[in-house]
Amino acid sequence: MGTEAGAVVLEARHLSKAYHQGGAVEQVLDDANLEVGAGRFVSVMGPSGSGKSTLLHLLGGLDTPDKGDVLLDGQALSAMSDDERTRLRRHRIGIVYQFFNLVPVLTVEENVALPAVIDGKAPASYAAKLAEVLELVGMAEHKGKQPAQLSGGQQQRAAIARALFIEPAVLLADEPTGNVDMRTGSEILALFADAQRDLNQTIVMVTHDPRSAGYADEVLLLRDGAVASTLDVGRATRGVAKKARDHESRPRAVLQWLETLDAGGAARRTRV
Amino acid sequence: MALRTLNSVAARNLARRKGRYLLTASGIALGVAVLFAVQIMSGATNRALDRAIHGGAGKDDVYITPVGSFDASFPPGVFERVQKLPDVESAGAGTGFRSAVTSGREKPAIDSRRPNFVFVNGVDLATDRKVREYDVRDGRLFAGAADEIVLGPHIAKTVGVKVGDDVAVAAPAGQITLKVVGVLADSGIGTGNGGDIAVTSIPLSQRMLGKGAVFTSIDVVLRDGVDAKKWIETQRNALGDGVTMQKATDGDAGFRSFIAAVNGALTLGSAIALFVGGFLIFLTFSLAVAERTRTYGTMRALGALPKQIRSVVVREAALLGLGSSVVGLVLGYALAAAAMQLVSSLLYLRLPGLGLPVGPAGFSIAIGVIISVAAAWLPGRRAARLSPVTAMREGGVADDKAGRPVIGAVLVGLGMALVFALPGNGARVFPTLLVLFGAVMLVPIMLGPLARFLGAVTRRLARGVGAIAVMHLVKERSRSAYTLALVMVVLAMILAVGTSNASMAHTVDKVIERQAGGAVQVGAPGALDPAVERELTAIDGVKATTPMRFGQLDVVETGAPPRQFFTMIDPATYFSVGSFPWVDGNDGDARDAMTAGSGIILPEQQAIKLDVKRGGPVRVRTSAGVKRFTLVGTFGQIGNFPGPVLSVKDAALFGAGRPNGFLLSVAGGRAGIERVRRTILTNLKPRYNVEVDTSQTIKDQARAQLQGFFALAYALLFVAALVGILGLANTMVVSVLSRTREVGMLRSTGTLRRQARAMVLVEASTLALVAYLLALPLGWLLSTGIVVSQRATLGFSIDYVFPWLLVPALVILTVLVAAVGSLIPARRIGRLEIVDALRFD
Repeated sequence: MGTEAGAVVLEARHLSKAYHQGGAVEQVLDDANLEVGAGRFVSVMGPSGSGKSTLLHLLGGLDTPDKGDVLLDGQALSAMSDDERTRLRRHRIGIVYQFFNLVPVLTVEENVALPAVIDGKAPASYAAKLAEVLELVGMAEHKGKQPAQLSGGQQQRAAIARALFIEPAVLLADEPTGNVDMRTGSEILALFADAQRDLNQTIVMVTHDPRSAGYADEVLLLRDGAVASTLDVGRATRGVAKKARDHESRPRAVLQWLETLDAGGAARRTRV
Repeated sequence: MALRTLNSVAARNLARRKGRYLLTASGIALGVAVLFAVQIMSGATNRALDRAIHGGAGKDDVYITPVGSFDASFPPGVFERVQKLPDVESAGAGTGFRSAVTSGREKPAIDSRRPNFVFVNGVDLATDRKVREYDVRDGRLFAGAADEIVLGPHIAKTVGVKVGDDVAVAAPAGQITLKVVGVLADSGIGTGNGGDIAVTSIPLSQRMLGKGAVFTSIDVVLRDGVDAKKWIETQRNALGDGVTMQKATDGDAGFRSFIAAVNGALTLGSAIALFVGGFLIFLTFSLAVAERTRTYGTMRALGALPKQIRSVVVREAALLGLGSSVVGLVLGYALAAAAMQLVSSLLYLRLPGLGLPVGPAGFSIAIGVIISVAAAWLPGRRAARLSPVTAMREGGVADDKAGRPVIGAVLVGLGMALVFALPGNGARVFPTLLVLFGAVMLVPIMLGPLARFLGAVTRRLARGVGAIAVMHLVKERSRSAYTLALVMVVLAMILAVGTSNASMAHTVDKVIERQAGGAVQVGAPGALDPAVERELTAIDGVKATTPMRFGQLDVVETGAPPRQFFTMIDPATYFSVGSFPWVDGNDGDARDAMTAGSGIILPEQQAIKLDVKRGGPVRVRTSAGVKRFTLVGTFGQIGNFPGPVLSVKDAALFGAGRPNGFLLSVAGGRAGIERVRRTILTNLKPRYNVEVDTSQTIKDQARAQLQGFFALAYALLFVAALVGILGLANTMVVSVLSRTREVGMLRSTGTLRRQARAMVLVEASTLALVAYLLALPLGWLLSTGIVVSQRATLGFSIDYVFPWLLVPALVILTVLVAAVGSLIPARRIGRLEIVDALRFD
């Protein structure tokens, strides 16, 4: 969206991040690198504590690395002040959370329009876009409800609408299906796939679920704070998948890939 | 789309938790109410005084009176000299005296305590009309030197007379019956002395005074542009000794300072109420920010700048402050109406209507909003500093640093030092708040150990799960600490005011016991006929009498109040009837020194102000110029009576002639006193219009006055205690909410509903009891400061008396606070369904 197809939208260079608790130091990321091309759907997997969420926070400019840098459309986040990074998030980065994070006192449409409200825009200037994005996620009929009146799936749809509303350069999702049932999870993932297909939306999704990861074009495995391996899901299922989004063969391919890696144990640092 | 700006979220947040915010708003509402009421009262009392003074003074610039006693008059020729002074446009002489009137149709009732005192002023209408407005409501003004009198509107109403009626006037030369020919309008001269004024001709008033053709006051109107103060400075010596000059508008300076002291005390109460209210807002918003960590984190992640988040929090507080301040104005108006009635009856001051005090209303609202915003500033800053990463985490809460013990200790020390150093209640507002702030900062480090210690007992209230409740208190230190501090402040203030009350009551008893001296006091509004003393002595049961004379005195020292009330005693008889509550001195030495003459006895506080010790010099203006007197002793004084005490040996220096009252010692105990009182009222009152008081009634009145003022303080504290309960309830509700899942888990593993309810009680009671323990030293510290510095306001030393009975009483109050504060949250927790609780997000 707004970026030439195929060009690198998001890039992580030599990211390192450690957390200090008391006297103990936990190195969560250690020289992690990745590149995400425009319109690509990338899934990040890895065992608990491998640094998936930390990587997502750094990519979204929510947190700053100890070393290395994140570049969005070639702009280095480390060169920006906190306010500049905040404005970048407001205009260029959409984030979807596991726990929806809707503001409880606002209605669905108010939650979706929140980035514009924060930006001080007049409601008339974004009314059409708001209607469009609510329609896109199937929440138009629930736009006047408050989060407490919605199911988990509906809340997540509203959260996705909020992320898409700003037409972000990249949509980051942290375990977006982690708090909903399997069927609702599939609907959520289908929404991501639709956004990629119809809007050429670049997506980076953190998940521990191979079935969810199967929706992506590429899957990265984080291990010991760095990208240990990648899987091109399309290539792995070429000739096996009956259609572009074959929801049986693609998760299977991811599972097989993970089992192979576990068996081999060989991790090599890879550039995506 | 209703949401136009991010700030609109503030209003939504308020609307979402109406109950909690209503509780929170109550603190500010009450603080603003008291502040508003104090301003209304202050304005009303000042207006009342201004009206009384300006109405009576008219265009008068300078008011000249003879030095000394109420019976003093000018030496011959003074009026003529005043007329010839430079810059005098006009001057009018008058002859006035304090008196009492009764309706000529009725005989004075024996036990009548009707306030029928009046100031009778003899004037020359031709000259005085140039100075004052004479508006007659009914009838006409007096004609020539006839036996006619014109009454002020209030005294006419009080006595119940109208034009054409006769009135009996108790004049120094004896009772006289006059015809009322007019009643003044409630304007101009009619507002003088609060409307308790009577006007007649100079010849008639001179006849009533019984001292010949003398004048007792001169009004001077200066030419335009002449400054009265400078004129007095340059002309004081031109009239020779024996006169005092003051700006006409400077009257009642002492009364104003007393009103200022009362208002200062109320302002201190208001500041404490606002402090507690601000504290409650701080507490609520701290909890709200902790609750909304994920919301604010999400907003940050979506691109909201820190200042935008802070603005949401602060605007929420501002809205709350505005709403509660408006409610406070309504409450304050009602409070002012009630308090003005009390002040009016205590001080015998008629106050005007409340009116529409726009300025004070605006000021009070501004203060309410500013305090609300200031209280929410820290929570707002905390919200603004939230890391957006926190939003990603489930159950993430804002870090909340609790307390800064070193700063706290410094603030307590500094505050206490200032409490001791600064005089007056108004000046103590800031240091008292410093002490409270400091104490609050010290709370967190004490909470853990004290909660563990007391928790060993309180956890038994909830068998099995009580320990979990105590653990929560210890672990969630910051939230618990601030609630605890709120309860602590309220309890400490109750203890401080209780101690102050006990100390005052003890001292008042001691001072009045001796100050009221003499079993019976006989007084009259004017000077008494010399025959009165002989008649009093002749009454069966009267052992001894001593005459008292009163007047107004100028002590010519820096720091001495102008024209203060003084008492003149006869040392030969006084000490066998009465005494003084000596701070430095004794009856024997005082009798000797006062008999020798040129001695003065001062209230302790005035001696301190003048920095003079016993044996030291005190310069006093007399009719023979400024004379040096020797300080014979100092005594404790409540109110402005008896003021500086002089000896009748020096009567000539103060124009003191006839006595204004007598003290009597009486045989036969209470029955004897009552017999003498009734005899005086029956035999003397009809002829001399004397008033009779017993020392017991004077003591009762003084105590009642004191209790009246403390009743106001206790009312404020009651309100503060309510706010404390609200704060506790608020915290407990949030505590229960945040632990809904945990409670669900405990219930699912076999915790009974009543056990869950008891957990809330354990937490609340442990918290309240820790607050109680900390309130004891804080209350003691504050009460010490208040008692010591009250000397400055009240003019006498106060013995420190600790109200030990209050210690167990406060325990009961503390337990009640805990029980009431945990009522709503316990009910909520008891009704929780396990499945719902486990699903709670």
